[in-house]
Amino acid sequence: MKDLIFLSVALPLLGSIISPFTRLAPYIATGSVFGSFIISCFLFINLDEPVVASAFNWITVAETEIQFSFTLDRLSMVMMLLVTGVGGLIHLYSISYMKGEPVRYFSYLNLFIFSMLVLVLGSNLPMLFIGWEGVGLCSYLLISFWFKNKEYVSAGTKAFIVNRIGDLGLLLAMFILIRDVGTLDFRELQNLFSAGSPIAEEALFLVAIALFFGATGKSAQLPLFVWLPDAMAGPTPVSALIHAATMVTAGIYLMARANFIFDAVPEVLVIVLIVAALTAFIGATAALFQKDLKKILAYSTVSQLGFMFVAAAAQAYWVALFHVLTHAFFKAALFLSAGTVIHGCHGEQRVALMGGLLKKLPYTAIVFGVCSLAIAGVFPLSGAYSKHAIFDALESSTLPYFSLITPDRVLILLSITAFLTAVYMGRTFSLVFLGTYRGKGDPHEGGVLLVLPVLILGIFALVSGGYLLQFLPGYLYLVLDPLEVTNPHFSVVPLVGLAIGIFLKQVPNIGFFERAWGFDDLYSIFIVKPFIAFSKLFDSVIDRLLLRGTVDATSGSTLVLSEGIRLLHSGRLKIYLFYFFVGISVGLGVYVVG
Amino acid sequence: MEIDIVTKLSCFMFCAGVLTVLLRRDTILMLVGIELMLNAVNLSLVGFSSLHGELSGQIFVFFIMVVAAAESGVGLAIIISLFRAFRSVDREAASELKW
Repeated sequence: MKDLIFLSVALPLLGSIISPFTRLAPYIATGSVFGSFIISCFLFINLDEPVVASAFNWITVAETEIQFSFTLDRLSMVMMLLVTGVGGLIHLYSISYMKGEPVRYFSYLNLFIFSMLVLVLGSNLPMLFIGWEGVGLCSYLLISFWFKNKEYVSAGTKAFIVNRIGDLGLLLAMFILIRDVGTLDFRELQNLFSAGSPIAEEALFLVAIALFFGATGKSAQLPLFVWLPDAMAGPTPVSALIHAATMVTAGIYLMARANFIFDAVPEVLVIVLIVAALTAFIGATAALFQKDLKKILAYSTVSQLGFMFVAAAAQAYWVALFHVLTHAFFKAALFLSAGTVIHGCHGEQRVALMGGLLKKLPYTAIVFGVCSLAIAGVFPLSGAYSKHAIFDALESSTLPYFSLITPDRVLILLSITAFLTAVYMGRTFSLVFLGTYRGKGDPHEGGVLLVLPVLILGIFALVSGGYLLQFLPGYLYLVLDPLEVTNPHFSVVPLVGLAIGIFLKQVPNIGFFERAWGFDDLYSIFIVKPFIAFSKLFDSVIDRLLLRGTVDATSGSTLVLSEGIRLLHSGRLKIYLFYFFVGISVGLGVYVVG
Repeated sequence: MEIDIVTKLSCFMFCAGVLTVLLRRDTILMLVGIELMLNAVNLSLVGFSSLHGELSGQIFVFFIMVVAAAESGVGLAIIISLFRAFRSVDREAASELKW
């Protein structure tokens, strides 16, 4: 069992190391992830009690020991299946989609799967942090995969920097925990917390806030969500895998894993709730006004991540995980079919130049349609189950709300958001697939490798809801509180939203919404520009004047001195002999006299 | 024999050798100057050897003579190649290696 855990983590790492050196890279990479998936399935069948697989003592300082170890419990198991399963399908899709591109793509993708597995399997916060940084690195490498395009590179850099700001929160939380509690192991922490909070109220509050701040960075919440829409510069399968299905849910996983900390300070959960609800709303409004197909889906992801955090804030961690799973299916399928559409339209991403693709790309259109229904929350599809569960959990939550923030108001905001979701998905579907084709060339369906993974994900998006609702709370009850939720019922509201979207089609150009309420501009004015001005000041004063001045003075004076001294090298034997005898006489003189 | 005369003669020969090396432009004469210095040392070695009634100083002289022979062989070879390069044995001709 322990060996299998190590093997499942090692396979993608091996694939990542080997694949740059061979022409078979796509197949090796895909095979390693599927191998990992098969091992995960085997582990899933045999998993009962949590299994700890420890490799060695990683850090030992005084009393504190940090193990390099993996813990497989049911929460990790679910995430592991998601990562390897969806990851495997997206690898499969990439074989065809990334044909002719440099093979380092597959190396990065495998490295990502490895990092993600370390993230979800790590027994303690530092292990999680390795994976956390690893996925951040892979995200950066893959966003700026086409590094000759300067815009893509700066998008990658932006993602990396914004993620690092979030990481600071995670690091601070670890520092406070190690100082006040003395351990970072999840299980030990949980045992300590179950017997009452082991640390002071203020410190606990800081830890929870810092952890959540870390989660906002990785999971694209306010105020750090700005990197995710730009991350669409990467290849489309990357957007599907990293920036929709798996990496961005790491924040949710962190909250679910550290649920005992958050439960101890419900005040923080109210903050989480406010941030998450606002993110969901802002994301949805931004998605409605986008012109780029991938950007629509990116803002939609931001919005759906907000929904997940709402569930986590309502202490319904399993519901958050439920939405992670359903969202992974339909959003990955949406991204992959968007990839097929873009592929078919010869790289065109603007929805204004698509249209009428229903007849030309029938399979893709069906999957996109089904997933649009799912994300909009139309009843028998998966999205309806998870969203209904979120609303249910929020209604029954007992957080210390204060005057302005009441459950009703948050519910209203979220209902509007859910309705907007239906509207923008309807608009997107009608712009891309209905009407007449407005672009150039003749779009066509991709090969079987492009269609098959999308179809599988689409089927999951179609049917997984009810099954997961039955299965998850019972399966996760040991790790997460199995809060009761009711079954959803048929509602006409999302259909109305979709219909409005389909007939709306064109939206007015509102820059405020298209630029997601101007967060980028705020950052630009208050952080980026002052920073650049500051850097320029340093460049001209400290660097050019002070540093370069000192260096120039040193080299200049050396030059002048050596100009004088080199004249001593006359090349004349007589002079040299003279030096020689003078030297010897002086030396002997000193010796004799001294 | 007075040791005084031997040391004075030896000192005079050595100074003559140094001045020859320093002042003459002809490289062959510089070689002669070096020989002169070596022989001045030889002379004083022999003188002190007889003063102390010990033979080791005189033995040492033989070694120096051998070294001097080898040295003049090498020196002459250098002078020949100098002559080949510059068509002259004047040391002022060989002043290329500078700066």
